Amino acid sequence: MSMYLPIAEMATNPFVIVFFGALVGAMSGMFGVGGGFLMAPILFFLGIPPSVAVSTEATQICAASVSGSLAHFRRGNLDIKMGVLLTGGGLLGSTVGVFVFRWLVSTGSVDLVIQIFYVLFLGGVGGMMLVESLQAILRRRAGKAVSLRRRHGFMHGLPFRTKFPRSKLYISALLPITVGVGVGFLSAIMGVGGGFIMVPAMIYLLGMPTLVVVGTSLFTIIFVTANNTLQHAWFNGTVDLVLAGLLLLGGVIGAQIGVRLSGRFNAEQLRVLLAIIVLAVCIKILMDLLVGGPAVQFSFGQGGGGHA
Amino acid sequence: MPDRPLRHFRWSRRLLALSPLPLALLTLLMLLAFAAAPRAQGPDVAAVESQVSVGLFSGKIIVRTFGSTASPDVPVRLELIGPPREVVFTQSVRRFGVKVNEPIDAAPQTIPAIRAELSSTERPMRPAEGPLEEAMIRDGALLLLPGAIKLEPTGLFFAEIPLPASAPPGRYSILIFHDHTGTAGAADAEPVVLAAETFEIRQRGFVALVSHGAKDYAFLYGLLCVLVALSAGWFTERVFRNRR
Repeated sequence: MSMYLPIAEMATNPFVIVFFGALVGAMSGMFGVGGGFLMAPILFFLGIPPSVAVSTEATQICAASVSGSLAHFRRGNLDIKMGVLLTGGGLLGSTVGVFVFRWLVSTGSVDLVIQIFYVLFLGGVGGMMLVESLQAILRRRAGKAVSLRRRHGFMHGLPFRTKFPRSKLYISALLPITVGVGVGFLSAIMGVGGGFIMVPAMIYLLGMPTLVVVGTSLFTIIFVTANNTLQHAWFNGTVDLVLAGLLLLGGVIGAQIGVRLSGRFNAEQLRVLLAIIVLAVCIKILMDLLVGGPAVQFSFGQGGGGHA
Repeated sequence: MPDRPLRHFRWSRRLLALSPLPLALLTLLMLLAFAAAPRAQGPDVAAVESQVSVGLFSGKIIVRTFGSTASPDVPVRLELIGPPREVVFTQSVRRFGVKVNEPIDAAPQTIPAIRAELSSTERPMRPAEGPLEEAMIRDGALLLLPGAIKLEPTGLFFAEIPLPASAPPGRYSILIFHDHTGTAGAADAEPVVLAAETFEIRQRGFVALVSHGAKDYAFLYGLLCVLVALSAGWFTERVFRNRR
């Protein structure tokens, strides 16, 4: 059986799409990341044109973030004030990112830059997470209390200090806005929601309690991906509603599986798992960079990428 | 040699199985064509359907063509050319120690989105012309199908052109001609055209609605997509909550 995707202008096996949608949905249920960094390579692999893949997956990430952050909101694990500041910065950053992306396209080096960004950030974030969570597990085994060290740095001297009661923080409002700008910028260039960068940034840079981080990060991703979806559909015409429907169906199924699975692991074990997946994707992209594909390739349409 | 190539084409596209109705129609048309033409000379005829539509559950696209030639000893060839598309060819080059896909030409070229060449002989067809065509064959944008045309000793021929599901909508042209390759003095002989026709692949139903909606009402379509995503997320959370 096959199903025709009107915007991608191709037929595909709907069960395969639903399956991978469920896989990524399960991941986002377990880890609180959108899963865009995984979904993009999977869709490329299935032969979906890159521009359509990147734009359409934004709808799935958006949906996953809505359900995730609603669930966290109900449990009181959402810092709306922090989320709004992050979102404001995020929209600013992604606008800048779109311009930089277009400039990179015009210089012809966009593919290389994207791949290097992926390797650096996936490698860095994955490695940091792996080390940190393994240490936490060891400390727990040794019977010591797990606590995050809070350093007093230059960032605590910044103006516009505000109270964030949910996060139990009293920091400058410029900090979350800056983090938002950075995440929004990277999300526009890399074509992802940015959860895998935002989560560590909130924990290690802002010092937010882990409990609040996932819900707040998902809350921000709703707006970033909704904006991405609208912009892609409006200006590029690359959002495929049929593909989105299949991914959403998979996501609904997967999110259920994800939450059930997440009950079987503790927070540190989940972080080790996520770190391993992130590192695996990083190694795959690094291998592609070093080994390369067929000598000559071609692509229809706007050429590679088409993000933002 | 064909004195008057008739142009009664009828193309048909169906999901994998042969569907009886268009085939019966084709046969009827063929019979009519034969009846109308002077039998002694044996006319060059082919039958085609002018439009093919793609729906939500369409799979592989198979275009069928029937025909008859006055000189059954000469192999028949068919060339299908798809609608033009912009294409960017890239090659893998080493830069700063890593492999990078770089465009071969900065400006995109315009080439047919899909091309197919069929022949009635089992003899392998021409080799790929350079790395660009090799890449196209690998990705299914260029099909070389020797022996795909069934040519009977009576001069009747039949061919199925299997287009990939990714064949884009648009106007396709088809050229059927005598293949004199390998015969004496054929090197500079012009190919004798049996038939030249076009057909169209169109989107229908929901597929057409979505693809036109996305073009003509881009902003509203975008809002719809966001709305679908938001409500799907909300729905998921509801299902979650009730399950607990």
